[in-house]
Amino acid sequence: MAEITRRHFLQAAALAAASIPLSRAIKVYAEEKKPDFVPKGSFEDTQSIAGGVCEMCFWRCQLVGKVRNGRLVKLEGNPKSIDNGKAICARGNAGIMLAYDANRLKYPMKNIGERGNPKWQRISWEEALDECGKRLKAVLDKYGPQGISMFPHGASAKYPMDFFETVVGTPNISEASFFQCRGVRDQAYLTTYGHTCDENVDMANAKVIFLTGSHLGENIHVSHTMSYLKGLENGAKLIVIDPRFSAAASKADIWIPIRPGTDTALLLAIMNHLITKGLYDKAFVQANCTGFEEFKKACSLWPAKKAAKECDVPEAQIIKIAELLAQNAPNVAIHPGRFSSWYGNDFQRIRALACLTALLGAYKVPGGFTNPISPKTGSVKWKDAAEPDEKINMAEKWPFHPPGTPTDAIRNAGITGKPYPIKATVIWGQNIVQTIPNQAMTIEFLKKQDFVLCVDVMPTDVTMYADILLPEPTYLERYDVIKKGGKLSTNGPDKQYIAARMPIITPLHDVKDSIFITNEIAKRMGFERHIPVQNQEEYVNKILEPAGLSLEKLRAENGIHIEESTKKAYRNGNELEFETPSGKIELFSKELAEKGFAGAPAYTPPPKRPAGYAHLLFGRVPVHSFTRTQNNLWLHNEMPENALWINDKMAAKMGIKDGDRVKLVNQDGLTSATDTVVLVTPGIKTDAVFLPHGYGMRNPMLEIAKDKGMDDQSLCSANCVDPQTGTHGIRANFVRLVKDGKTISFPI
Amino acid sequence: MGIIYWNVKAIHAIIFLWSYLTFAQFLKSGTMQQHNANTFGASIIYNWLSYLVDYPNKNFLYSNEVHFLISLLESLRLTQNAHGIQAFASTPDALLRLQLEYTRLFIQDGKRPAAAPPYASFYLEHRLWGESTEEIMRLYKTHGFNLPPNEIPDALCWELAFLAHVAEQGDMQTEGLMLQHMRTWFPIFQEYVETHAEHIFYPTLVKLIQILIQKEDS
Repeated sequence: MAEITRRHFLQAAALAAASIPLSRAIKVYAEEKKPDFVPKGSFEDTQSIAGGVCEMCFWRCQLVGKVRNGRLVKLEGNPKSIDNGKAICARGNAGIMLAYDANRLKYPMKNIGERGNPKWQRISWEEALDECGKRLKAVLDKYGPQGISMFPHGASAKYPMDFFETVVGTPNISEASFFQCRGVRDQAYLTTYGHTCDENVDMANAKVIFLTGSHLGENIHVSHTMSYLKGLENGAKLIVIDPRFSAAASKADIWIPIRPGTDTALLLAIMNHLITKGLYDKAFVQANCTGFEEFKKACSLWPAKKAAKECDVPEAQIIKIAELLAQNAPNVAIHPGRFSSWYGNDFQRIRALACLTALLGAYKVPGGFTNPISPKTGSVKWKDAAEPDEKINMAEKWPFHPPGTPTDAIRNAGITGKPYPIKATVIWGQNIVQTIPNQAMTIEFLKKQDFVLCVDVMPTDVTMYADILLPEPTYLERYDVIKKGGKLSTNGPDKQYIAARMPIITPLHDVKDSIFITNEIAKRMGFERHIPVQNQEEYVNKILEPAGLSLEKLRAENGIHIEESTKKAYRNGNELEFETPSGKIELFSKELAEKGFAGAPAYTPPPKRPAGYAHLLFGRVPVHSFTRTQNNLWLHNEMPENALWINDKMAAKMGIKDGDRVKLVNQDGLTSATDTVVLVTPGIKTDAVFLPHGYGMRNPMLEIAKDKGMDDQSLCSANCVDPQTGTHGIRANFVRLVKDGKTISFPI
Repeated sequence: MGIIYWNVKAIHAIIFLWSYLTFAQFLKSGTMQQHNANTFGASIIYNWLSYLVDYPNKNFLYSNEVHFLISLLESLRLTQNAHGIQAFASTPDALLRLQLEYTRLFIQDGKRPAAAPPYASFYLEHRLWGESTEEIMRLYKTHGFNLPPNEIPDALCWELAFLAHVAEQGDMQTEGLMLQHMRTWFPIFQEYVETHAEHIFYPTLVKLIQILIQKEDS
């Protein structure tokens, strides 16, 4: 017999396979015979624990944790979720490395050195809480409730914030999420529609998506990104207004690289075109809006030709956008934005976005400004809370301010003692050194305090200024927030859900939750009788109770309760009611006019760019949430520093090459402490540079994050406050480059 | 670690006085097998060291454990260390200084990351609760050694406590496994402590631990 070669064999097999279908049978057989192979790093023997709610950012995706031998091995989306589903983002995955960060705050600490140059002594909880109670009480007795200020951020800070606000009675509370982020947006929509907005516009069903300066795709909010991508998948046209070729711009049908800070002029020009050409939704405006004539006049100040010059955008493109919106109205998603505190002229810009939505009738329709309806839950209120004392409220200077007091007012009072001294500060989960513009002032404020308490999970730049530093559990180790929301449906009832954050692992080290810490401080300040709940579980159960739920019930439902909505979020017909003073959508607001502001959206040019300088723009990257995640080993490895974007033509003229290392110096002569790498790109306007935010942390306790990349906030010294809301405009700063010790101006 | 636990160990201090001479001999010879018969003594020594590497509290410097340390150092002819610690212990703010030293070296330093976090996985995987930690946890579980869930299993004080646990049972094999594991990370830790310590207490302590965990033939 001739020898059978490999070639012969395969040829014969191929012939046989053509007549006998072998592959399916083999597949079934192979499945049965699969070896019991467990690779290293597998999830064998893990126990799935539902009920997690993410806090690597504040979108709060619902989680499941896989735990083995007490070790959290992996985080995943909760398959039951109708929000993020099984998906979580890179940051969500890396939550494990927050819990297991070696630099985490582990024990209560007392600073026996100076603020900013601390020397830490581990002390007992008893001693730490005694000290907090005593020192806060001393300030309260001497200076009154207004002698205390608080800077909270995140779900764990809610309970202590309510204590300081309603029991201690201080108005000096400033949340970064409002005064340095989205508060101005909420207030602009509140003034226009009588309710605030969130960014859950119905992009999935939109025919046009309209974004101004958006971080979509750069700040991954999972369900939000899914809705946006669904819209694009379904053929929505995408318009992106941004001086930078952002992630969103890269998917756009129309990208408008606008001159920074001039967006309101562009929006007025679009609306002017819609009005003068009769392209707006007349029936909707007639039925639901007030002040159309005054509004029309305000828009007429910005014909397309004029706006084109101001915004550095071709006139034809402005008209093209207006017509594209009109052709697809009302199914157009005019996105309200999220981070909105840009140039100190922001309230009017967002009012313009809100009015554009109304002009197009894009309110509560598929593809429009339709926020899903959330289920109702309860709240926990401190007992016998006092009425706030109006006499000590500095916020009234900004009549449209978001809840709390503008940060700038608090900081000034702390420094100058006027209108009253502020002598104790409680900082809970907020890194005010890197969230509030003008670091030098923030540090001066901190140094002038009699007492500074910081509560956090990780060391940050502000925790260096604490007298007492207390460690909290991570979001994987505690109860606090109730995440709820809804899902729109175009062909059936909407759905809604409730998920309470539940611990996936036991708190490590010697950390305590915010209910415990606050109650113990309250007792030591003499406020024991006001305490509403004794522990975290009671707190959450009280909030769940009106929804007919409890932690026990939620656990039995794998962490998420889902039900059909009784109401549809989309409107039925044209007749609507609004909780504004006029009961209508206020294109022109009498209240604004009475308080001395433009009643209809008006454009104020941003601070002028000095010659030789570029606008300092900053933004997000998908792998970090501000400074909060900088020390996370996995995320750090994904993006160890924040490259500075510089326009290619400018770079060529300035002799700067891709990969060069530079520092920045700003309009007030402040130089960045660290340098970073240059990214030369045509994807940014000639008169601007861009830096991802959150890098360049200075706390030497942060082994991974310290001095990595550049801190944009250290270059934000312009005092630019929005006149209606008191929120901080943070993009009104300008920079030049410093390379090898030499300052290089922009040739413009 | 639990207060009750250490009260029990304080009673053991009486036994220390009985055992320390034997132990000193054993350290000098640097071998363990010669002293198999004295497994109970080894267990106490592990526990004693575990106590010393935990955060120093109120009466720490006047405790039998520290007295024993000084006597032991003397008998080992480490007189400089013995005198250093004795002189230090008698200064009025000694406890505060020791607490600050402990905080700075092992927990958090205002001027840099903690010099020597006392967790094995920090040196093996540059994180806490890594794969190596899980291996240690498995080992603990199979030997019925349960620790509070907030504790990090491969923290130095727990690894020493586990050594005490298995030594008490005369389980030389597991003791050997644990020692082998400790030798993978302890030298780097020791170097960090020696480099960054501001006085003699902790370098002395890690030196003793290093002697105790070194390979028998070295």
